[in-house]
Amino acid sequence: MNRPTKIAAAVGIMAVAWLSATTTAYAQDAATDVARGAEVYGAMCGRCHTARSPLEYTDRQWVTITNHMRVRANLTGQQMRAVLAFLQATNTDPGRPSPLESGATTGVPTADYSGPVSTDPDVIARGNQLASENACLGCHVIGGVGGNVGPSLNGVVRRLGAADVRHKLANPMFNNSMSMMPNFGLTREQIDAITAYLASLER
Amino acid sequence: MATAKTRHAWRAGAAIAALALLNAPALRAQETGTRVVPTHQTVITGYGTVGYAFETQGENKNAFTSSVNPIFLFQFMDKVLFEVEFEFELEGGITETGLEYAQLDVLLTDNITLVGGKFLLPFGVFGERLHPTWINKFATSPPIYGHHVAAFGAEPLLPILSDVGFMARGTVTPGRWNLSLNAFVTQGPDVEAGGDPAEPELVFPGSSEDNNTNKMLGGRVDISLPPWFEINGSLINGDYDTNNFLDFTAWNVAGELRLKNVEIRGEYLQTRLEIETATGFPTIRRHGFYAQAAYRVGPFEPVFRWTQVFDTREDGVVTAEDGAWQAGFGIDYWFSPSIVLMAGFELNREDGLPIDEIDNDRLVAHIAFGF
Repeated sequence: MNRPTKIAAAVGIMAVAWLSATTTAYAQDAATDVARGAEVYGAMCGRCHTARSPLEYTDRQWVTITNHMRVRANLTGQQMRAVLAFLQATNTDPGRPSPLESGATTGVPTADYSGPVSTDPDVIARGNQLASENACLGCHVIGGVGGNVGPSLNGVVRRLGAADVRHKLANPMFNNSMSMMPNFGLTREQIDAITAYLASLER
Repeated sequence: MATAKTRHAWRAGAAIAALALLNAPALRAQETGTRVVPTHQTVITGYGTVGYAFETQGENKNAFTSSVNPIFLFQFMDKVLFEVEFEFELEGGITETGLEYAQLDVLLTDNITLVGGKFLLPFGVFGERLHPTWINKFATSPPIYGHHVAAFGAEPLLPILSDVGFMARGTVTPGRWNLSLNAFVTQGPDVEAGGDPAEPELVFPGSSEDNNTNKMLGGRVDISLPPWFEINGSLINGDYDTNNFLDFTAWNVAGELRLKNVEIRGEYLQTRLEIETATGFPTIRRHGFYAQAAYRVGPFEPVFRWTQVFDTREDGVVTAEDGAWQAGFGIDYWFSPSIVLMAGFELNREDGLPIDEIDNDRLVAHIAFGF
């Protein structure tokens, strides 16, 4: 083979290898990526601009937007996929019916959110796990880290009271009809655990 | 005329490329879990700005402003992205148009991206990442960069750099650190026609034509520990005259510190321009910096920015040195993460002149909408 042919062959083989690679991963290991994605989202995206709400684009649009930002912000492919997993996981309608409120979106709670905050270590650990799974850090500061889409959750139980925190988790729009917080469809047991976890950070 | 060998090479290359395309999973919709993701996708995004500016001097003392920058993103799987940003801005009664970038990104591996076309140069941070109006926290750009700096008492050191060429970007993430390296080759600077050769005015046309055979080389090294800390250094170098003889170099060091709701960032920029005179080849050195602090309190974000530019002409001995400074005070109100009302007041002063002659202060307010 002459030199141009060798070069063409080498380029072609590389193209075949590259295009055939099985690393296409719009949603690989999405469940485990969500928490990591929330962390990257708060840390990397917030370096230049306020972190945008997951609700601003559709799941499919986020695929392209995150690739755009991968180039602009020098993210690795792994970081980009984690961020995408987080954005898609939290891209849920904040006004969807809450399992606790029979579809009510604003106003007076239709469930009773009062009651003591648990100090049981197992419940607190469960709340920590749920906060991580639902990527609260992507939008809120907890401790010293987190995003700034929503307000800081440091001291939130003391500030708002446990009942309002529970109500917000059940129905993000109850006190703000413009809220962009996703409704995660949490059960009462899950809400109590997250509230206990947030309260434990204040002690 | 093509030789037989060349024709064979092209045929072989074309056949292999066709094989590559046929073999590509791209031609099939991709199944990920229970969802099917199309191979091609288009997204339109961008930002728009409407505002008001009042200057104590200058031609445009009291005016409303409007601009829009649509961005089109075309994606092919997770392998290739084509990005285009246009700029439409009212300049008097004329709509100025611009092509900020039109670049093809090849996402080669998780860590390496190749870029070709017209792109914003990774030189410093402001030009590539911060200049969109909804991202820049002050209502105007720092006047070391030539972007809406009419009120400032000195020429900007550089424009927002966008040029045509090729670039490689790489990132690794050891532990919690991010290390990235960007290297590029582009057409490079040109010189304004008809100007004074002793004080040439450089332009970066970002054109498909080049005024010489020399290409500009440049790059940026970036080290960050997100979200707390980032520092990077950038360098560009190329000849600007038609004879590939006169040299232009610029370098930049930028940094950012973030602690909870406080963000502090700054950039130092220096340019060195070799010129030809009857006595030799002196260098015009200009340098300057900006430092900015912002503090987010709920939806409000007060911002302070200090900018200073120094002009030094080195000709064996320093023959002239002057400059200008600006103090900027601003307040932002965030309606949502990408919709912001900004108001800023610039105090502009030029060295060596009576204060009452050059106090071209400016009040700017605008609403910026990243969409």
